[in-house]
Amino acid sequence: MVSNIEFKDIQGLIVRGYNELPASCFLLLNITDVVKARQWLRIISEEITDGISKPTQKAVQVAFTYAGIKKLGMGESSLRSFAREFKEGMTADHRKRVLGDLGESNIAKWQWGGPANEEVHIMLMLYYSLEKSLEDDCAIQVSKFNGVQLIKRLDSNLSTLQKRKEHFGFLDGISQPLIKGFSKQGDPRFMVEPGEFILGYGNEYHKLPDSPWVSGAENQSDLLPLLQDGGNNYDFGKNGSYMVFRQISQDVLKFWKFMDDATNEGGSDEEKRVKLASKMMGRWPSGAPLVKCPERDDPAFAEDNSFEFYHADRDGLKCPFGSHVRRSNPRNSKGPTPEESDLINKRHKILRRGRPYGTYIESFDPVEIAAHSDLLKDRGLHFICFNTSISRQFEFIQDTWINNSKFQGLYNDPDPISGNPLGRCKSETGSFTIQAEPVRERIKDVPAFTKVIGGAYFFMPGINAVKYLASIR
Amino acid sequence: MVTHGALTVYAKIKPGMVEQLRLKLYEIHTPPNDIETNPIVPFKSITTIHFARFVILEEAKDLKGNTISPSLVLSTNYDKPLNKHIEELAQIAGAGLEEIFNYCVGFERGDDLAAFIKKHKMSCAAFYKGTPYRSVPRILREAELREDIANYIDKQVKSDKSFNAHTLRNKIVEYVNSEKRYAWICNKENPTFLWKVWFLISKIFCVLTITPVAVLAAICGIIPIRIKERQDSSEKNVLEEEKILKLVNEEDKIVQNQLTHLVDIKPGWFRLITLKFVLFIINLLAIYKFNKGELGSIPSIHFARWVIIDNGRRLLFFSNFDGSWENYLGDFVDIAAVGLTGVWSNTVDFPKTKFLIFEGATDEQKFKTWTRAHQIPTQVWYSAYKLLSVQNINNNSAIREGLTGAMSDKEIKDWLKRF
Repeated sequence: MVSNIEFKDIQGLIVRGYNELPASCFLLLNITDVVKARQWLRIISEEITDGISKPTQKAVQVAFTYAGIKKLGMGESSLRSFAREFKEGMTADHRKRVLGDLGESNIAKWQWGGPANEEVHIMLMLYYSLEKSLEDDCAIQVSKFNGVQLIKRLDSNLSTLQKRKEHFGFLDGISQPLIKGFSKQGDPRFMVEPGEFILGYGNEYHKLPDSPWVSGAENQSDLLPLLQDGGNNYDFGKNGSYMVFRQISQDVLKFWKFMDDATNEGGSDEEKRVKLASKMMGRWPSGAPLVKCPERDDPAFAEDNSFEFYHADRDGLKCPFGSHVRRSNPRNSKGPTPEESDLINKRHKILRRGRPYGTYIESFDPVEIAAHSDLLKDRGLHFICFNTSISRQFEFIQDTWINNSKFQGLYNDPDPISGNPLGRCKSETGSFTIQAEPVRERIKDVPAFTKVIGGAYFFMPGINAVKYLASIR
Repeated sequence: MVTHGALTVYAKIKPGMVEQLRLKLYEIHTPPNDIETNPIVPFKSITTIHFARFVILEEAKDLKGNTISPSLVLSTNYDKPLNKHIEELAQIAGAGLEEIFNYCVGFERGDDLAAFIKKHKMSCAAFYKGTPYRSVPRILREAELREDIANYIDKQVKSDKSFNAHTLRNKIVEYVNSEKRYAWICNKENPTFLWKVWFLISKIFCVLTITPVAVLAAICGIIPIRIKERQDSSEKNVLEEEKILKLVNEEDKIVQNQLTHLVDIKPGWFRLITLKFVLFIINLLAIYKFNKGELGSIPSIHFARWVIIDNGRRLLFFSNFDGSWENYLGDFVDIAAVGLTGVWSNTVDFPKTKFLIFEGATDEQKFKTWTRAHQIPTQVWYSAYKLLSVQNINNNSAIREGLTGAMSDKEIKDWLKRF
């Protein structure tokens, strides 16, 4: 397949997840001296890993918040051309209701990115094959900082974790959109247009996604292409993408303790406990989808992503309507028809590049977990995703599917895994309904098992656009 | 049986009184007051109101540059009959409404409130209702009943594992019948047989008379429409950040959201006639086709209405829907683009259309920008059931209906799925 996608200019993380580079750290930076920061950025821009190379030892990416781009000196009119969500930021007051950043996830309690924390301008993302190189090279990177100051360092190390398992013990990252023009191809019905994830290409509505631009008067360089919509503006967004970053803390003990209490009828029962948790997830710990293996886990289906809901499980008897997998990707179950649902579903996709952080406690047993020496250390997910419309993709999924207690005709059921019940229904806890015959089982008083402790909306520009930022005078 | 009405009261604001009126409206929902119990318009006590809003239409210029003076719109979605609704408004909120309308031209303290409301009532060009035949008290009663039965089922399932669908339903029916507070479930609140027959006859009459007219209109209209479309100037929708912030700051607080949208109708009689005709058809579809909780398979709209105001110069749209603005507009684009383009292609700055109903709203980014650009703040908004979605309300009714009469095994199985 001939592709017109300019992989050479696209930052590599958008193209691949760097599973071969398990050691990673994300450096949150604040610009202290603009002129020096631009010089530093100029050097960094030469190190950025592009979308063609397949690094085996090291990768470097860089992304900016709105405050960061403003600080670097982009002009007023150009700044206005960014998406509203990005300009307002993740912590704009009304956004807490869209994202569910309420209660324990209140932005006032965040460790970074919140109103009480130092302003984040830049995120430098470093990936390595070896833990040792991370420690050595990260120190070198920090020593080279010029005009920028380190606010916080976030580490994720895949190699210390069970392979690709998230902290509740389930295989993660199985379902990813297949993108037209990328090397990995699949069933054409499910191939998504590149413009859903990379600016400058057609989206699922066969239009170019709105892209931030720099006015002709302001543009002193030849780094940016002309905007395709005409006029004398230059396309700053081309080959870039909006990056959502959220640090989500997971309470593993609370999770398995709840599963135990809810299934404990005269004795703790691991099988029942895991089954309830799997009903909530929509997959078994191995990753096997409930639609295919409703009764018990079957590692033979671990990576299986070739399932649908409409024909196989219309009533949610195998995979409950409210389960995480069913609501974060409803596939063909939302209507009006299964075919239309598939089509509409493609307009609410995100490209996930998150990584877990913290040490892994390998147990489904709350007693064992409670006794674990690492229990008090924070663990969770550095949730990272790319999209070209934060409101239609990430925020839509978060609000209309994950946190929506009314999803698919339900009453008070937010996502049991990652939802926050303190949304529109304003209840401290939600329910979880397991569709069954003759009648459903309803688990009540499901609390939030996760909380957000930091986050920001970033823009990850194309490599030439990074150079443009460094060239502003 | 209860049917729903849409009351729109449109009154000009007395010169220089806009800010004072704005303050008064602000008082209604601002602490220590709250929207449900405030002493000005204690909405919760008005049992005929599903949703209500007050909106100030700011001073504006029409397309010819003439000034349109500011006005106040009161809108309710109410349980018919209208006289009883207005009576209740006057009885429970009379003093507060007098205070409010006192800022409007043609009303002075002590005037007859009911007469003023009737005089300033505008008719809707199209009206959709997502929960037909359900009065406010019925919606609240049925929600309580469902919750109670759901809790009863939780207990039953725990205490006895041997039940089957048949015995479970019997137990539920027995339980509900044993509770005196549910005596109302036997009341007839759905359309009667005679009414259904009348409805069917009128539907057939409509289809037979309207179809040829619509086809003829389409044939005659298609060329002039296309000519007009090609002459349309390109859209220029600028989003004022401050206004957008004002809008989103009021959104996503309860299960439902609201939208108030005001836009100039394109100049000339041809566009106005076309718009009226399209809305007339949509109104008929809303009555005869989309009357089971979905508007063209959008399952989240409680009520929506279009009102043509200012002698055909502007089009006003009010809607109450479940979930977020983004979801609602997404449904418009993905599912209902043709119908909405048919309406709004007759208004200014709408994304380019083809043959009246094509393109337009399918241009997702431009359509959403246009909608936000012409959306206006709603000063006061009330919902009588802020925790219930359209799907919840209609499901609750189906649960209630399943409590009486005989059912086949298949029907019992399906009925139990509703919990």
